Amino acid sequence: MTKMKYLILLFPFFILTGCTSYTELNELGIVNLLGIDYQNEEYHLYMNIVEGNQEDGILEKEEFFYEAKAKDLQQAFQKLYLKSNKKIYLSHMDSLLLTENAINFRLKDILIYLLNQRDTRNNFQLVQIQSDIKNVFQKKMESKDLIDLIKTNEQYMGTTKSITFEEFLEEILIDQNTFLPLVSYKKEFEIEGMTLIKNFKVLDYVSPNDTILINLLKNQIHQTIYQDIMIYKNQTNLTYKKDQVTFHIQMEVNNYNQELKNELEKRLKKIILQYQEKEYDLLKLSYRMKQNHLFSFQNHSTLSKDIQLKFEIQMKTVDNYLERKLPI
Amino acid sequence: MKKNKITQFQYFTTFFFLLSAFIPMIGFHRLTILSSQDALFAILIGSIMMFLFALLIQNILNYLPEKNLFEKLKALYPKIFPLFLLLFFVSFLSILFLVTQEFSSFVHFYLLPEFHEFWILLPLFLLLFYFLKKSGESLFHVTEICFYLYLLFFIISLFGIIPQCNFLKIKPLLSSQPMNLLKSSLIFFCALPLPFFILLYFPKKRLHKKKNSTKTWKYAIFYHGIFQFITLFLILSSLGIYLTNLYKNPLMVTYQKISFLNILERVESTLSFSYILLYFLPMVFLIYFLKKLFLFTIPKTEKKENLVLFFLLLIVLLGNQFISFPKDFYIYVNCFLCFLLLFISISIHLKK
Repeated sequence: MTKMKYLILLFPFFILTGCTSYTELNELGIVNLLGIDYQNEEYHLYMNIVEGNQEDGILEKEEFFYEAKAKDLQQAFQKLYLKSNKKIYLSHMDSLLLTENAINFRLKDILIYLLNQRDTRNNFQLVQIQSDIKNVFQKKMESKDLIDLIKTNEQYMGTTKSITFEEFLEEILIDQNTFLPLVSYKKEFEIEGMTLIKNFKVLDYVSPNDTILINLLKNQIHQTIYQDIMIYKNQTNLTYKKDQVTFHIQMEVNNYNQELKNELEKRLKKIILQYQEKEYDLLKLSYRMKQNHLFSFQNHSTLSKDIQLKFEIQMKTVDNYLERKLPI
Repeated sequence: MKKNKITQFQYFTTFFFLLSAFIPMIGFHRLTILSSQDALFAILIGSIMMFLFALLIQNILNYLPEKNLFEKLKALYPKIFPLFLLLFFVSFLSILFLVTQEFSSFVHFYLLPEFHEFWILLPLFLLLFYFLKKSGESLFHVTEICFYLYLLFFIISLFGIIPQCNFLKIKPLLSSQPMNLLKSSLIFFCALPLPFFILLYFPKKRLHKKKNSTKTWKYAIFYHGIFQFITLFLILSSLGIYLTNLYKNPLMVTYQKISFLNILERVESTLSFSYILLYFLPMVFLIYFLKKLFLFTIPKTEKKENLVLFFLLLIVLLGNQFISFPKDFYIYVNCFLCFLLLFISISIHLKK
């Protein structure tokens, strides 16, 4: 009887350890980069798949490019599956490239499709590509290179801003305004700033220089160069009163001057108001106001024009090695 | 015979787990859809309601304390008590079906997507068969051990989630309508009646320190409230209200975000063990309750306890392939049980 008990207890281990659904690594086609375009009422789906091929007991990594066209995203994926002899595995997807057409015509459907996929995770990066997307996949560009480029520029220049699928969703759910990092591809990837998206359509493209300003307002700048001034450090805090939003900006720069400070203030104010007119809440100020003064802003979907924007910029020159200017 | 008696701590852990079945069976998003961030207050209000309700019906505990629930009912309603047994059988069996259905779909979706749900349930039911052959006291021992494991996983996930949190996402508070806040508090409160009935089956004579049992109820309600409050607080501050409302299971999505020093990632499958316990232990006690109910109703079957258990498990296993219940059914059955508890409590009061 005791043996029977042990057998009963051991049986679940054989089933639950997944022996029956065991998949060898070289039987998987791991998708690392996915691209979606929409042309002539058809989805164009591109996929970079890393496949492991075992030769003489050594697992070698090889990259393959697949393409499919269909009226429906589900059908396009099915066509891709028909072409691959490996099990397509989306769980390790690093980034999704979207074209302007895909955003303007099918963004909502793409989001819904991805949300319903059980094997995708929601932490992959979303990027908009400005040039021919097929070229990127034909050249078998690596997703890691693209993400590193975006992250490096974000961290050291502030010329773009990365966004994950989940962050993108949250931004859309708050007020239907969101953004994407914008890159182009000729012989290599190049940062082009960022794309502003409103109501599931491209609203505007922001140049890298203006992206720096937006990141400055969002307290996302670690370090950058703006108009020949090196900004080593930046801290932006926002305080909210019922009729006023104050931006407290503290900067460490290599060369402080009053003109720059005034110019910066002017430009920062201009960029907020410029998009405010297009009903694009760049900093989600209406939502932040609602968070801080719920009862005054409960029924406001956009920021009231009566709200004053106030800037308090403090610039501090950081010491360097030079005692005086170079006498040349 | 101290050894064979249920300790107060085991009693506490069992009540805690049975209450915590709220997470997989009702879910936080049910509260947040109704009352947004104020769902945090709903948990507090719901816990207070539980306290008050427990005080109201504690006379059921003290009525014939040496007898189990069925014997109490027999003494209280000698003529109509078979009707009560029938009601119990129908409501507890349907909840068991629902828990089993939810468990299999959870494991199928998150852990074993290539498995048919039948093959997920089969090993679990073999395990249940082994467990439930033991005495009720052994089940309490298992629950105690599971509580330590649950606590360990809870602390690990706490350390994992905190770095992902942005506490500003909790704002704005007090944004929901009072009626919605009340509704979500009532939904949270709905987790109480089922555990109450299950534990009523264990009379005071089976407890180690009889006097403290009422205190243990209160502690379990208090700690249940605290645990759920912390969990929802972390979910809201890591996902925000919009994503919490978007996902069916925000807790698992939060687990997916956990990364320890960017080295240890994709730990959600491991952490989901604590989630599985929240299905498993209520399932164990539901089957135990139904088994005892069956044995009490048909006394001749007492010697064939294993056979009854086997058929009960078989019915649930096979029935689960054909019957499906809506998730709200859990709330409806608990509401019904709540009225039943009140009815019994009032009857006892009038009898005195």
